[in-house]
Amino acid sequence: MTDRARASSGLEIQGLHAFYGQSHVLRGVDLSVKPGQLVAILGRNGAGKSTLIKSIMGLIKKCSGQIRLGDVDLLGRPADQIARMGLAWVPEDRGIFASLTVAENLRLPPILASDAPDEAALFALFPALHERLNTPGTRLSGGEQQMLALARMLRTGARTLLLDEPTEGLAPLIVAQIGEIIAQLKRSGYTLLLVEQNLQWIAPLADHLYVLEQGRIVDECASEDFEGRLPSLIAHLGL
Amino acid sequence: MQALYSQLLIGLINGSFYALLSLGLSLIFGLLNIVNFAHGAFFMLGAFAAPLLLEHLGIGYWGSLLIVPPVLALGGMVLQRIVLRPLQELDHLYGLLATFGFALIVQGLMQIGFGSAGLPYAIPSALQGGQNLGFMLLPNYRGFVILVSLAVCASVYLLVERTRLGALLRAATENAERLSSFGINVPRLVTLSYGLGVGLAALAGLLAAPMLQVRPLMGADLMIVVFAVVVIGGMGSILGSIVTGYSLGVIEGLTRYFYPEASNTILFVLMALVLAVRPNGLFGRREA
Amino acid sequence: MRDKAMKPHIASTRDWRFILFTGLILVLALVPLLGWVYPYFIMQALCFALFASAFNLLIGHAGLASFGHAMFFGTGGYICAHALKVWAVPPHWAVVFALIATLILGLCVGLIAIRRQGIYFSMTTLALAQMLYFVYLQSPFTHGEDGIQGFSRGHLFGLFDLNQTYVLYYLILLLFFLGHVLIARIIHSPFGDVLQAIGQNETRAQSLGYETARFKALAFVLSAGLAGLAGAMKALVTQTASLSDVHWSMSGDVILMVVMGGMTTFLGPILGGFLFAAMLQYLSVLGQWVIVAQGTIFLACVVMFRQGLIGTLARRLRRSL
Repeated sequence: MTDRARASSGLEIQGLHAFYGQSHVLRGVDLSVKPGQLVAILGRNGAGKSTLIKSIMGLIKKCSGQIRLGDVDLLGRPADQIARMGLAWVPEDRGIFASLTVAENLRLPPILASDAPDEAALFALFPALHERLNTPGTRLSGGEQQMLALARMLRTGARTLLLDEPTEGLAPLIVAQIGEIIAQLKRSGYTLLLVEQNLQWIAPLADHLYVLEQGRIVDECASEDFEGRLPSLIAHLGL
Repeated sequence: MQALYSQLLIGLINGSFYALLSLGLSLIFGLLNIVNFAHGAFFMLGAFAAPLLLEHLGIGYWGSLLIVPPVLALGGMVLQRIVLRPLQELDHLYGLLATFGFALIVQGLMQIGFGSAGLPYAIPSALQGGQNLGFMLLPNYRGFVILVSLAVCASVYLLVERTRLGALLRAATENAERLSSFGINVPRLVTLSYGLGVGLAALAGLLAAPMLQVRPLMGADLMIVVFAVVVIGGMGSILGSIVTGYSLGVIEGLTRYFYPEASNTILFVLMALVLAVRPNGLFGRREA
Repeated sequence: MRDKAMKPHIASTRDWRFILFTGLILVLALVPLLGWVYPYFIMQALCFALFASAFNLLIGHAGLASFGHAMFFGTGGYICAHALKVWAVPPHWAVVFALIATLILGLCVGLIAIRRQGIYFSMTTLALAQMLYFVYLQSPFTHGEDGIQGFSRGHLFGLFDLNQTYVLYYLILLLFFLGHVLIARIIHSPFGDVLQAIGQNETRAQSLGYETARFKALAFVLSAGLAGLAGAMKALVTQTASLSDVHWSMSGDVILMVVMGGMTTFLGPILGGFLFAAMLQYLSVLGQWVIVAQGTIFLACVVMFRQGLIGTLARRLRRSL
């Protein structure tokens, strides 16, 4: 378990279907995130991006297909087991618990690996959190909550991160800061899968882009081709 | 005046039971989202355990105090694991009905075994007698019950508000799915909190054994009052449960002194009033 | 969510319930001629069945789990018995008084209880019922533990002597029939549809513009009145009104009837009422084991048999029953 969490594992998804109540949300998604890569999924609201992330985390009951983290099939495993394999999810709403302080929020998930970053290292990365450890979690600003959500998952030692719209609703200055942090994570070997709507922000960071539309991958390109593919990406996103 | 003080004392004693029981209900409600109708049955079993352990195993009061709450808590966890967990995904009505059915079975069996009248149980010798406080005589055992229940309430409060386990419980109450995605085994946490709530009920029953009559329906009748307490206080907060429990016990005691005819109904009347003015209860945060 | 997929949309599925219910009434009407069933057993069963159907109007259709319905059943019985014994009014007036009293009581309790939802609603109704239990325990007119007994049933409209078994029998059957006709009308009215919508998802019903509180209050009052009617019928049949009918265990019993028969079905509560009456009649030799049996049935129904007998049958037949 520790080993798996340490090594940054890639994520391979094949033929993923997901259902939410009566509606068929994902209709056969294939995508791959190689170890150490940063992959972004773009798409409009309602395209199924969050459902995709939740399916990976084992939070969607009705799923079929294949989701592999390294050499383990995740489909059908309970969420807490998936998380303990070193897969960390930072949800769209940040998932900060209102009845917990910043410190309690930060220390909530169990540590999975012996070489997980210690708190000193985390506070170096997120200095704003250090002085607010005893405030209730939801008193933080949106940007600080995002930092807390990130720090909380990094602290576990998870090396594969799923970030759902990390820049949503944040001021440009904070967005830039988060961009720097994400770039730094990528340099230190983390594997990252991001869901984003902010093409300008994510394009320079990502190794590979996928466009999700109505539950299917309708377009993809590698970072080398961004320039040429920009018009078609923009068209897909309706920007 | 003597009579007023002694009614106040009885009020505090009853308040102790209300607080311990509603505390357990709140814990269970927070994680399972059901009202534990079996709570009264566990209270009654806790009370019955004392005379039964003494008679059959020669275990005295202090031994029972150590053994009974954990054992019944374990029993509660088995019940939760086998019966309630499969119902968790369904309408909460089913969980409620299942605990109600369980309570009926336990009460029925105890009535068959011990009749409706019940068993006597003596106050432990170390706690017999009383203290003269100048304005009244305080029986030692009653003082003991109040102190123990205050200490236990305070410990549970600290456990929930100050420890890592408490943080997990609070997080699971807020959003269990989110917590499980952090690598926490939430179903185990749910079972644990059910056990904790049941343990508190068993402890309350054990404390009540030397004072109230140990009989099969003692829990069911008390629980209905506790439900009124819970509706008044709301199940959102631990501190709220404790404060409402004690103060309503005292209010009931005062009523017994000033207007005894209404002492059985005062809490229900208060409940109706609170519902009219503050539908979510005094400390209520969220709706079921 | 409870299984409510069987909500009728096609007129023909309604016919099954109509046919079966009419058949039941006809068979029951012939019972006195056959003479092989104890009529007082059937009468008691009819009272319980109407009580259960009244209760099911709330739990099965509006999703409101009242844990205090014994207060209406018991109050109906007390008022009816008191009116017959002390006021010495004819039986039709006694029943009307009981009905009015429980409707008013239902309105008061309903307005308080529907301010909370879900399990708080259950706890509130249970607590209010217990309050009324204490009131009845202490007030002189109920004669406490003894109850009201030893009264004559009198003559209905001055014509029919209800002390004659079969006259009483047909009156009870008629009231049972009328009560169920009313319930059927309620379920299939636009009001019933809104109740159903509230039962499935109250927030959504609210967002559709329904003032759900008013619908719930009205449903509560109707259910209370019908339960009171059932209680008055039982007082007429047994010539007693006692605390046991207001006790919380009776509130539990009516839930058991509905769960056994099948929530959300029309015929389920009726079957549940008959089964419960049979349990009282034939299992009373078991003494306290009856309570254990009831608890076991509860658990078994909830864990393995959530649709109840009629609900399971309805599913097999793919019909609303």
